Amino acid sequence: MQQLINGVALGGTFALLGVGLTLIWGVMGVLTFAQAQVLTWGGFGTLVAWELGASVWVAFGAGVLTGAVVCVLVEVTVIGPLRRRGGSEFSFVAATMGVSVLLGFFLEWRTHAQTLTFPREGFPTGSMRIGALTLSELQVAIIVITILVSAALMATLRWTRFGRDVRAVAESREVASLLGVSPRATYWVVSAIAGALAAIAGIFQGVSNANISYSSGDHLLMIAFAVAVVGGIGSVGGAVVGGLAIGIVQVFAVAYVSSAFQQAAAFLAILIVLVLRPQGLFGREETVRV
Amino acid sequence: MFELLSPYHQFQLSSLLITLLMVLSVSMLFEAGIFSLAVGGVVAIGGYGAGLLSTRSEMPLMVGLVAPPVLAALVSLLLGMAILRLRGIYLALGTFAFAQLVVIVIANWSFAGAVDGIVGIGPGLSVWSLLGVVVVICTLMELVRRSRFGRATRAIRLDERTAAGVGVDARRYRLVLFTIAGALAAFAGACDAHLVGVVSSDQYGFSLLVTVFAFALIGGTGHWLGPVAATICFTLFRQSFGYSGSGWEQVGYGAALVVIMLVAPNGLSDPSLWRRLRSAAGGPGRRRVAASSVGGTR
Repeated sequence: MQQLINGVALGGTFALLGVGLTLIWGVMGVLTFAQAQVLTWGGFGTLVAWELGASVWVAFGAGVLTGAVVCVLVEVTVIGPLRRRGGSEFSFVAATMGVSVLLGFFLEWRTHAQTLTFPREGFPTGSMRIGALTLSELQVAIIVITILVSAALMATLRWTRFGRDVRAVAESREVASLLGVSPRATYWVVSAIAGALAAIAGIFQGVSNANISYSSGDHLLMIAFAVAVVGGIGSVGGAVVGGLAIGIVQVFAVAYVSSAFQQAAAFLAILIVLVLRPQGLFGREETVRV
Repeated sequence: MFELLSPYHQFQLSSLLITLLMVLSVSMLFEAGIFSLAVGGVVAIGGYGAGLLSTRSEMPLMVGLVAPPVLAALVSLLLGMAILRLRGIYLALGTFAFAQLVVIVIANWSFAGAVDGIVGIGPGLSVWSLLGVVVVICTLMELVRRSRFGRATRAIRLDERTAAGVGVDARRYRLVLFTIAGALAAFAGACDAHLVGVVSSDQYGFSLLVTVFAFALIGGTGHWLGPVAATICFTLFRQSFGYSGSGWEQVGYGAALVVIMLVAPNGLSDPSLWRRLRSAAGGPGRRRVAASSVGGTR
């Protein structure tokens, strides 16, 4: 049970990153390799604001804002122009790989490739006991925020005008723009949301590790891919379930199998799901019209 | 053989030729529209295969250079049968997961030295035989390109369904190409292990992928000459400026990937890019002709 809670808390971070990724994938049809760097930038945004003397909440907000801004900038400067030029799916992958290298290098250069201490004061770091279980307040915060944010996002996509616009653009950019929905504005907002979610995951990662470096988010990229694939592309609920599932599997893998298996779990999940059920556990089957 | 090149330059040239083999294996797949990110994994199979055979057994060098590609071909065949029915991004993800999985397995495999890797691998092919291999492979690629097989793979890239409609067995062609590319990349990995003398799991990660992709995509999917030219230019440039291995080198590739994708999403050897450039260069000239002919009738 204790392991299960640990797994859910770990999975919460994965889910936040994965939801952003699956949103970009579902709405824009772009597999972005830059998302792990957005997460790291979000963490650094908080760190920098903190060092400038901001309070915890302001620093948190600054981090989230950094993530959103970076993600929107990537959309504006790279993904958008590439889309207008009619780039193939591959060109997006290649270009975002390049973006990821550039974003990572900037941080590596500014931090001299050092691992920096991440501030913990003010963040929930105590622990609480419920029955026989010991929960850290941070775990509870991660779980609560993951659930709140993804529920809010699902409700927004389902019931609001904006959500309808997003789904219309995801269905067909051309038809949506004929119906008066601006695809460009939708892409910007979706990028901002995805960036903000990645940043929240990055801040939580920083707080729970108590340190951050230019590459500390990199290993989460494959996990985010796994989350998106397992959950089904474009499915927010699927990504949450996928994220939690992978978090739980990782925690149990360390406890009962080996840490090597923990690293491999995400990749195995991707391969198995792609071979057996390519549309993901919660995705709709895509029919391709010729 | 009289020495044309100093040992240093021989090493540089060998390293260039090996990179070229990896780039060719990737661009061969691009030409058929297969966007595979598995290159790091198969190169690792080649490198570790050669490393293990040369340090843990008394096998002759040829076995060490041939066995890993055969193994990689088998692995690629099996992987291809499992995931080649996927398309686009899904295929990219599946192959990427495979490559990462291979790296994790070798990093945790104590017989292969785990995270320390394998050291003390003896020298392999001389730079001239390597050059010979590359020339033979390029010639073969040109011959294949002009053959029925080459036309079929290009047709598959343009439109798989139409290709299937005119009798191209797309599935088989894709599988054959995937297998050959796996063997080629593993051969490059084996040569690299013998050249450098050391293999470790971290050299097959993301930066190898970015480097090879930068070369292959900058060169473009139109013709194998594009990637070859891009690899030669970039490698000579970085070797002569001594950026080799520094962070700036990766930044250069990252920036190049972004810029090239924005300027020419299909790479520099894309015929339509050259048509556009030519018409941009010829445009004003034609307008002048038109203007003068208007002047003539007046």
